[in-house]
Amino acid sequence: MTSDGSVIEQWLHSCVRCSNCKYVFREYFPSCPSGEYFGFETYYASGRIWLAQALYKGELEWEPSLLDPIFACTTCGNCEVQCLAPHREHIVDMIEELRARAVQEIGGLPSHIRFRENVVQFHNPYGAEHHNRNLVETHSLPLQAETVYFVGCTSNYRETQIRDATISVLKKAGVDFTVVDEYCCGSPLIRTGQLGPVNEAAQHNVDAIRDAGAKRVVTSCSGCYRTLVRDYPKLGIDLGVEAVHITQLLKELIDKGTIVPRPNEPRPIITWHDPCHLGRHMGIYDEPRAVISKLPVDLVEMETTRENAWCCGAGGGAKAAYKDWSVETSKKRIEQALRTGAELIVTVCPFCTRNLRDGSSEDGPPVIDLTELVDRFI
Amino acid sequence: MLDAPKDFIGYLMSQLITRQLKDPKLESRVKGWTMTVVLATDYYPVTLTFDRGVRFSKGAASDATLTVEISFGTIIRLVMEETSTIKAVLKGEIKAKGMFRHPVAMKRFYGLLSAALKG
Amino acid sequence: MVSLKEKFGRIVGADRVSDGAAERYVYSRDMTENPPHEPQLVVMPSTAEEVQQIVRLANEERVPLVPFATGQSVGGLTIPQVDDAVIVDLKRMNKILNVDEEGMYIVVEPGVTFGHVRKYLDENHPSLRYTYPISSPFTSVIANALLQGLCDLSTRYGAMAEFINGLEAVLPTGEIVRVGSAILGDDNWFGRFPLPDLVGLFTGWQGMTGIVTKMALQLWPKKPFTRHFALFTFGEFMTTDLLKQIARGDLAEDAGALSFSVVKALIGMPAPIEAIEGEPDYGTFLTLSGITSLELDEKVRVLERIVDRSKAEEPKNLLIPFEAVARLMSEEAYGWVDFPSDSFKQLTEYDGLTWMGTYIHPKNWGEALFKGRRIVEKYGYELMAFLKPMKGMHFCEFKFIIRFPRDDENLKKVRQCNNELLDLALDLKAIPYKTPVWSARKLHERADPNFIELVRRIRNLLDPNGIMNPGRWGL
Repeated sequence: MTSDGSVIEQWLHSCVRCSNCKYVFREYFPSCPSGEYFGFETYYASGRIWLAQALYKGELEWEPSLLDPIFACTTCGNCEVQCLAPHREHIVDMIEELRARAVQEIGGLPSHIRFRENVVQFHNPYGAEHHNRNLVETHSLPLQAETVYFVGCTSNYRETQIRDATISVLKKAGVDFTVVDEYCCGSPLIRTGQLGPVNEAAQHNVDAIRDAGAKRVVTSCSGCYRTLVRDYPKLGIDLGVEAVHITQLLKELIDKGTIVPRPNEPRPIITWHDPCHLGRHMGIYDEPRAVISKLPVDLVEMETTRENAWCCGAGGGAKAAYKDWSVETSKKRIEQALRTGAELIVTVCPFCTRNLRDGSSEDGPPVIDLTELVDRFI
Repeated sequence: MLDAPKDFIGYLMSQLITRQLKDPKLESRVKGWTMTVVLATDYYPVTLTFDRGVRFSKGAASDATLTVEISFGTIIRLVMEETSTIKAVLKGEIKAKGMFRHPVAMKRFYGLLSAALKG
Repeated sequence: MVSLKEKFGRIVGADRVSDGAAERYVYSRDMTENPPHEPQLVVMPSTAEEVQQIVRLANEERVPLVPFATGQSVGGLTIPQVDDAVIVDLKRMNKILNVDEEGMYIVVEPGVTFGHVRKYLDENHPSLRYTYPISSPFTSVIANALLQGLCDLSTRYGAMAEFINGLEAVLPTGEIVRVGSAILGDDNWFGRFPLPDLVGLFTGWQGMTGIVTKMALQLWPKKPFTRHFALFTFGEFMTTDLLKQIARGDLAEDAGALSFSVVKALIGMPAPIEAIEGEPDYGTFLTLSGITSLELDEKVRVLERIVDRSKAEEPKNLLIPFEAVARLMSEEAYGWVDFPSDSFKQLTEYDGLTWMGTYIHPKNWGEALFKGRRIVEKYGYELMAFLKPMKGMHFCEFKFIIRFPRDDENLKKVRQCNNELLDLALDLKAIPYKTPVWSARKLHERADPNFIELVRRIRNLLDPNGIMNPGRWGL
């Protein structure tokens, strides 16, 4: 990053548009959900980098037709894995900076603006009534505890089964935890270039976690996890406590023997979808697999896994702004899952769960969260 | 610990020795060495300065503890394990100046070179 | 009134045509120093029939068309040369249509890349191989063949255009034609002869004579025994002399020589790379193969003898088994020779990449390198020459690649450097390949005018409305 904080300026003379970002290196599977669907060069990482550079250098004027190439990207980061050029670790950062500049110059996409307004008014992007604190009563949780479970908006207002399973597992494991009056972590805003309200929400969360006397935060949402661990420090926000993802905690609990999965016959065949925010963005691939290996299930991996995994299509504001493409992307992942013969598709991100379900047929294998799977067997 | 040299032999040697120094025991031993070795290849000489680590520089230091003459072809034969440092010395494919005055330095350097070239 | 965008949209679908500022910008330029020029539209067909309709519409509307396969050419070859052009992006035509094991050929569409061919053959026809260049793995196979590029079988068989068995193209007037033996129907793409060799109407024309929608290319049996070597040599004349002996002896199926700076880049040295006095000047990667181990061993012995003889003049010349290269320099080394595209990453350091490349008479090869090196050094760029003996030493290739940041100062400097390199090449009667327009114009000044006139006449005959890539090749 340069002195004015611009990662675009830092890499102003990088990227020959060699196309390495478009495919999985040496495997030649497509890697970019956006380019694969829209096709024009502008919808691949290299095209976006050229746009970012052109706009920065003033070779291109801001205008509304730029919005689609800039925002029709799940920021899944697969391009970063495949790129071999020196800027490879900074592509998503460049795209997010480009988006922030777009929002500043010409405004964002209407659906993104809507969820920003919702975050400001209701503290969640869905515009749902803010009720987080009710969970304390419903589940008889203490006001203060060693661990704060940061539920995340999608688990709390849409994919509530993930929240419930997580609470159930934590209780069964005897973890001293509570939930706090959390606001949206800011992930949807950061991913869509709408940084304005983020710091205030983030500071609220920091205060709430501190007030709960917690030493650790656990998230069941991969997006929240990435935001708390990677984005908050960049925004100058000190969370003050350690943040872990539920997969890390589950592994720890299983390793210590705090939770012991029951045997089960017949063992269902499952396949695992690596969420981009957990895998490529945070490098967590082994923990969920370690947890799965202790469950009475048989894991069959898909043809693209770990850092090469095909994105579910939901991230980066894509689900809100580009529904058809988002679901088409998910369908491709479902096709990969079906080829494994799995009876269950397991992941650990509420966005992935939702979008993979949207891309599945009714008679296809159900999509569930890893916490639900663990909850079944303990 | 190591600078990245701009020349081929220096860079290659730095990579190979860095690989060896991943062994913390060896790294700690090498940190205690104080000696200057000139690796006089048929391409050009490179100086390895051992002083709380290793530094590489193109050219021959005038105050070398040891000067080891070796062709790049012999380096390749050592890598392929077609010969050994001892055999190469006996056949005159490796010549060392200073080995009688600094036998410890020679033992240390040959040991490191041998390990580095074997991977 | 129906807009042009809507008319193209009716052919390919509205979401496959764009006049957006982003698309106009990105398709207006490439990685080289060649000046950008915006198209008015970008259109993405999926079938030959859609291409045909696009060409017919372009004739009706007198709209210039510029074919674009995967956009990896180094030379501004997909940059429009006139206003209001429509880029025809062919990447969606990406099917491998057939592999004929007995006839040893593959039939592909223009969006098929080297990477995909490699994977497809490895998975489905492991006894056969295609040939691969040092370019991005996502370069179009058809584009490289049409542009007479080189690859890792060129030392033995020549430029990639020689591997074309036949093709299907949409002519500038809209007819779909086939040339080669497949004029007798599908499953018969075995060759080009004995017929009027009309493949030549499309190779080397840089998309001025139509849009190729299908091509059959030769494959080769994989030899069961293969060994690779690196050869370190000194001096331009001694290096080229040695390469000539190796190529004339038909020992290597590939001999790709690189300035030593490229070798240093391959082993991971950071940019900018300096050539240091005393280092070898060139590193050549050699691939030797045989049907039996005996055949291979004998070739290796002959190669060793040739290199040993050269030591009389330069004792430091060194032949290094690739096993040693891998152990000593990089574990990735086998990738450099197994699939040269993998080593392309060395050329992605900045946002700019250019070259001045030629095919040249063997007698002038050493001098071209010797003098070209001085020019590159004068401009202060990294020495990145690539050279290859071609077609059993009937001709040679050399190019100087420059990786550079595309700022104003470097754009100007790179243009001057390439200009000087081209003047040198033309003085030595080398033919520049994949020529940008400025380079083609310089060639015209020195070439037999009757040849240029013939080219012009053929083009006018095929394209009476001048819609196919006008201005390209300086025409």
